[in-house]
Amino acid sequence: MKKYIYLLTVIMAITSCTDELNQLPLSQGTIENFYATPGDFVQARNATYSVAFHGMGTYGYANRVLNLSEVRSDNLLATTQASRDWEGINSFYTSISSNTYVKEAYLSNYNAINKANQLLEKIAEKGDQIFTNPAEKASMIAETRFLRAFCYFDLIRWFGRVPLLEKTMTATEAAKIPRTPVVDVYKLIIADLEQAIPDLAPTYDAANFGRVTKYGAKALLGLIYMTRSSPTYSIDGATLGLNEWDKAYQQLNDIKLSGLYTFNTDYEPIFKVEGITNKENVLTIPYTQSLPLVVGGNFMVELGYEPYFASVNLSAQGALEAKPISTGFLNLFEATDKRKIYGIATSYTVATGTYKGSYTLPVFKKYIDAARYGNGREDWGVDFMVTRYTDVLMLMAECTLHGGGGSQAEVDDIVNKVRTRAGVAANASNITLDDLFTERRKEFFSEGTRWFDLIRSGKAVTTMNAWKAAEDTEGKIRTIDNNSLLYPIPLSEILAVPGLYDQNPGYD
Amino acid sequence: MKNKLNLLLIMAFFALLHTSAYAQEKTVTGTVTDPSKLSIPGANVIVKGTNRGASTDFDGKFTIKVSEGETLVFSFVGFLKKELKIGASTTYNVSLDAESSNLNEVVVIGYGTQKKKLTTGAISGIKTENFTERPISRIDQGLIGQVAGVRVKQTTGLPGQPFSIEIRGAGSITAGNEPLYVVDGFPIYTEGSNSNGGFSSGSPLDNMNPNDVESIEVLKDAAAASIYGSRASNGVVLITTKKGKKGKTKFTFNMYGGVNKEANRVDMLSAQGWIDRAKTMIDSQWVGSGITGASASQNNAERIAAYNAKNPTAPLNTANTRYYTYLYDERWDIPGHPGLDYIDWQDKVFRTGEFNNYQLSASGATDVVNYYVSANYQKNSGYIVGTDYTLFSARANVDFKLSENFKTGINIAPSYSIKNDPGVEGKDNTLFKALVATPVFESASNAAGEKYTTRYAWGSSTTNMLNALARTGKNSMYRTLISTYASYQFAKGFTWKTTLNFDNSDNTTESYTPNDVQASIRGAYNTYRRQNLVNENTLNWDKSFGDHNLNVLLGQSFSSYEIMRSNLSSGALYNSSTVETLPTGSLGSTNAEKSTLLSYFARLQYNYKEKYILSASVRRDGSSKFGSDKQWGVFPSLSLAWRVKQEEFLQKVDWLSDLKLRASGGLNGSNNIGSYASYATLATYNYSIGGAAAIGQGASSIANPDLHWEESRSVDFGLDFGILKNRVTGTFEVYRKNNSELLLRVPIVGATGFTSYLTNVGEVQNQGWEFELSSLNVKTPSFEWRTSANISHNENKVLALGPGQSKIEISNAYDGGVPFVKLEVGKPMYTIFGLQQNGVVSQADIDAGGTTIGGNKLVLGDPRYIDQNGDKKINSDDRVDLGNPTPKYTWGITNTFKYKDIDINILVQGQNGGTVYGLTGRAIDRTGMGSVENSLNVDPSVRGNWRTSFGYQANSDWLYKSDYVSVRNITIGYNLRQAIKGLSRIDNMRLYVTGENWFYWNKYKVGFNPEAVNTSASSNSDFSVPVDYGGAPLAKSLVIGLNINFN
Repeated sequence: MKKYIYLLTVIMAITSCTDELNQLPLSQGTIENFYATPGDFVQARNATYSVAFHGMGTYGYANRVLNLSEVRSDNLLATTQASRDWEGINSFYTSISSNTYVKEAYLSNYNAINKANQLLEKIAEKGDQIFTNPAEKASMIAETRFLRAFCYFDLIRWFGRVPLLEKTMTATEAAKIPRTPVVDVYKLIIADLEQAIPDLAPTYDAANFGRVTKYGAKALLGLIYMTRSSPTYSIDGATLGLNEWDKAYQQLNDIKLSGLYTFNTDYEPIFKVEGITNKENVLTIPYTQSLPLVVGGNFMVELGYEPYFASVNLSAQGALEAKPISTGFLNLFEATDKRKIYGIATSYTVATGTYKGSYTLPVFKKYIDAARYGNGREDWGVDFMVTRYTDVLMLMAECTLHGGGGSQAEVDDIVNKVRTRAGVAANASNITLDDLFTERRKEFFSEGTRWFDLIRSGKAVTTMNAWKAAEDTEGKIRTIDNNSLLYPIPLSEILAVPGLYDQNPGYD
Repeated sequence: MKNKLNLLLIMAFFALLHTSAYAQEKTVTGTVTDPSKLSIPGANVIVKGTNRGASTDFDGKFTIKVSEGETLVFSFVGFLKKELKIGASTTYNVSLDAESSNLNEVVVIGYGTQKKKLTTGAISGIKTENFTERPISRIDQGLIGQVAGVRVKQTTGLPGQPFSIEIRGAGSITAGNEPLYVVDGFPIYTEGSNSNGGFSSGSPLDNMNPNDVESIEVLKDAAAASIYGSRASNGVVLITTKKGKKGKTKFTFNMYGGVNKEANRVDMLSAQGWIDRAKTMIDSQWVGSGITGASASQNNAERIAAYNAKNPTAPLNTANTRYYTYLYDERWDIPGHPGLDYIDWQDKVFRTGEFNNYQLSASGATDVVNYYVSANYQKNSGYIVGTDYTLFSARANVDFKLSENFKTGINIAPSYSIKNDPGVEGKDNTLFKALVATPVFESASNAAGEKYTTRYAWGSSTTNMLNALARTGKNSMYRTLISTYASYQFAKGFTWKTTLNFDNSDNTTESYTPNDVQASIRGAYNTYRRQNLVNENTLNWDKSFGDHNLNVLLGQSFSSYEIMRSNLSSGALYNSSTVETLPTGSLGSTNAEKSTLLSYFARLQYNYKEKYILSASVRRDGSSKFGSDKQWGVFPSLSLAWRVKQEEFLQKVDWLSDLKLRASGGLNGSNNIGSYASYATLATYNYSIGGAAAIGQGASSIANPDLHWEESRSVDFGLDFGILKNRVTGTFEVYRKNNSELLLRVPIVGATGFTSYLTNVGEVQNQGWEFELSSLNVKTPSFEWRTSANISHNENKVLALGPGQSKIEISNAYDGGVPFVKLEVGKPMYTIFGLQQNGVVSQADIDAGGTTIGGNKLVLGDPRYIDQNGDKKINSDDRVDLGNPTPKYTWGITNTFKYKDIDINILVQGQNGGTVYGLTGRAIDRTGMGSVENSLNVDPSVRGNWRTSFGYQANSDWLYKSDYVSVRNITIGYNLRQAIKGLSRIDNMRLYVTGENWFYWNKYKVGFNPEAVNTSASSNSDFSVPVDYGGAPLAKSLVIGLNINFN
């Protein structure tokens, strides 16, 4: 009897397989076993680029500025009958702290910042053993710090004060970091860019197009100085009312002096030519269609309209309803303006299918190029220009008009060059800031800059309310005030650690 | 026939003997039968006070030598003893009464069986006889309304789809609430439902044939379930399949066939109703256009003239979108509406489905072999165009008794099913579109002869959604379930048993989306192979010391679960619209997951005189899903029972035939999370460099090496009773179950780069009571009426969330993301909260001042919301609790009538006290809804202006009670006793007719089924809020069936 029991106990002991309890993920790496080769570090860097520029999934920086800058501005009267997510953005609701666009802007940036912090920490920890070439290491640090600065600047432009994390943190540690004053966030941003710029390559070969260059970083730094110099509107935003126009001018002028960029005399190729051959590309987010690993985008859908897509033989893009272009804006253009002709469809016909019919509703089409449509609606291969060379020149003109350097003649000259290219009379002289902003509006529509231009102009609130009075006949848009210039901190953040963050004034 | 003949012969024989039988000791003969006159073979017949005895033969006959005046004692297991004093007669036919119909039943418990009277935990059994007596296509379907405390949610009406089962409420927030299923001793790995409320990797009950089931036991409390320690916190469902009975081979043939329809529809506006509504809006738009003199009474020509006078450069013509917002379609008012079709889309989507089912089985046993073999075919072409389900399944259960001490056996059940669903449920899918689509279209066909392919100018962009029904969505599953065992009794009372179990599912989902534009023909081909291997070794010791009875079980178990998936999809690569397989160049990937579980367990069962009963168990589980230091959990339980009726003082109380009190407590666990949740795993974040894809990888989650078992601690008090000779029996239970150390994704600040991380925090309580009652109301030789009823009440409450956290609002995937579901301490899980609508804005409201949603001004006739905090603003602070999805009461009543050869079975079942938030309302019942889509038939003066001045925010509009009452089943059967007379090979033949869901009442207006879930309403991946967004109605069916038993 007892012998049997002993025997069975032995069998049980043998058959138990405690080792089997250690299971490593079969289809994913883990943080513990990653960062072991230079290739791992390159992948970690690519992931940082990906989240900072392409965002999470297919919704990236480009989609974000179209929804949060363009839709909020006076370029679009995008009220809706269907309670779409953009309605509260367009109509200045106070209830948008749960808005998915607002949330995305916050969370994607912090996700990228986390990836940047993680990478910088791992380079500090292992970089000397991993990288045989010090320049390679320096460049990786520089690119990563640029991306961190890019994301923090994006955050403060939308939200004002945000928590500042310079390293990876656990949930408990991060729960002790309050919203940090904008000036302190700027300290990190400027330090990051100043450290990055010397180590960034001035230019890359075609195979490396898409990595940030020295001049891409300078364009960002220039815009940062301009933003810091703009009026504060008495809110806790990214504008500080400092007088740094000269610093901005210098950064932008370095780009001009580099000679790497040329002012294209045709408007269309700016949006059609991709890669290093397009000399308008200063800071560009690249997308490529039809690759097995999908790296296409879908930002053109944000301001698109299904019947227009159908008219160029594209299937449904998920654009939902049209976001109508404001009449006042359309009326700014002369009939011969190539920018309107190229960038806005005013009549189009769908031959067959659901949307069969003729349409006269104007719709932005600047970035819609069916030739660069890949496998499905989230796989467009159209690059998005964050800052293009024309923008650099016009920002310089803006600095000049603020006394940051350069001459009125140069200002008039750049505006005339822009007008000439557009096919309208080059009759600019003694261009004022107001003139410059109007020209910018016509040049950069549907590129996501309008809202920030309004803020820099110092006249955001008055311009918007005057526009509302003229166009919003149904009274769907709420009156705009200084508080409307910032977005609310997402509700989920306010709820995550009660009492840690305050909400921006004016929001529910 | 044969029996009658025998009896006659016996009587003749005794008649002959009678004269000579005058000795002091005589030979007495007779037959022992049960109350229904069936003979009892093997019954004991003993002369009282002696050891002289005999037993009955195969025909129940006995022969014994006995003296006049002595007493014979007749006994047989399961029957009451009967004493009979011998007089002059030599023939005594004895009928034994059943000791009690259910107390001697043996029930299956974990790792063994037990007499029902000796159970100490909360166990409910289900009578599976009626699985064959009515048309049931899935095991989970057969559980509906049968057991108190078991809520079976029919989350879709599509054929072949799994049901969702919740035992004693939902205790876990993210780690699944489905019970553990144990089939013939094989604990099958259960995956939780996904964010849409479906089962991405199948349900453990998929492809199983309900006709093969012998019994189902539901273990509800910790004591009953805890031998399955880990994974038992949601209860355990033990399923035992059929075995043969000793004797000749018995065959059964069951078949049924029938038709089905949708049980209900959504009350949308008819075509005329839609036109009337459109006219109101067009008039209102025209009047509000600002054109001088615009009035609703103007006709189209007058409107055009007035408009063109003001806008000479952009006149009103059909190319101008204003044309459709200011003018009617003149054909609306022409009798017969020439050129227009009025369509009820629901007519187009629903059809009459047909289904049938055939099952053949053979079973029997000899001293050495016991076998049960069956084959089944079922086909159900659903009541929605394009949907159907086909199942082929077979089973062989074979046991060998190789010696007195050594037994071995194998159960093997291969099955293959094909499920077709072009994607009819869920947001933007066919059923949803059938509701929103404009009911008016141009009648003209296109060049290809197709109708409704072009948008109606006054209508919505949805065109013929019937095209979508031409899609392919085919899911096929080949599953094999194998259990083998060997048991050896190596000494008296000691049995060793080893089992090896294997469950393999190969699943393929093919989808194909044709399109008018060939460039967007899309296809996908996804597979998974799911394998679950379990080895268990147990040692069982049975011993009685006088009145002390003891059973000890020791065991060890190893389980491994592996799933390998492949996903292939094509982009715009198709070069032919007739080929549905994926073209060259399609994209694909594979991934795999594996987890293991190692367990040791022990159980002690003890009783004294079968009166005082104790059961204690402990299980120690190690799971690979947790951090290396935290893998092990210990799960003990203790339960006691006192069979009060056996006490002296109750023996004399005749009306009370049984009374048992039970108490139990214990700890169970759950590890139903992803296999690698404790790691910070990487995900790909690719970027484009130089026109090529640059692979990127980064952390996608935060590591938590301290992750450990979720625990559920429960106590249960139960009372089992039987009165009036057990004509009425019942059970009453009260319980409390606290799930703590929840595997919860706690929201963290986004500044970390992540929004949440998985940790063990929080606590949820479920408490309630259950009552089950069955009674034999009437019993006469020709008529019998039985009722069994159950009702249960459960209250669910969140007791704690993360540290210092009192509330998690789960962001809404729609409508600006404003949450309408929350987890809050002190409230039920998933409490629905939103603004409370309260009529429409009046002039008095406007005069009183304030703003509405989004800071907008109040507008006459807009929906009015209650300003809960009185701050003159309507915003998210004014949201109040509106209800929660858990019903307060679920109940079921089954009545069975038998009159001669006719039997009738009626199951009525329902629930009360829960709420459902009908998100389909977004599409068909929206504030500010325009005229282009079709809308729910509701009064606009109650809902507010058709064009509100603000966007939508979650409010009480779409809140409905999820109460329903359904006559799930009415079966009328007829036993064809007369017809088979003389057919000696046929033992029994029964014909029946069944109506399923024939009567169905609910209060849900914006959908078909208040229990439906098919779409995720949460934009937060950490918390799933599955909701209904156009889920299929239940099927209403009429069935004719036949059961034949033959030999």
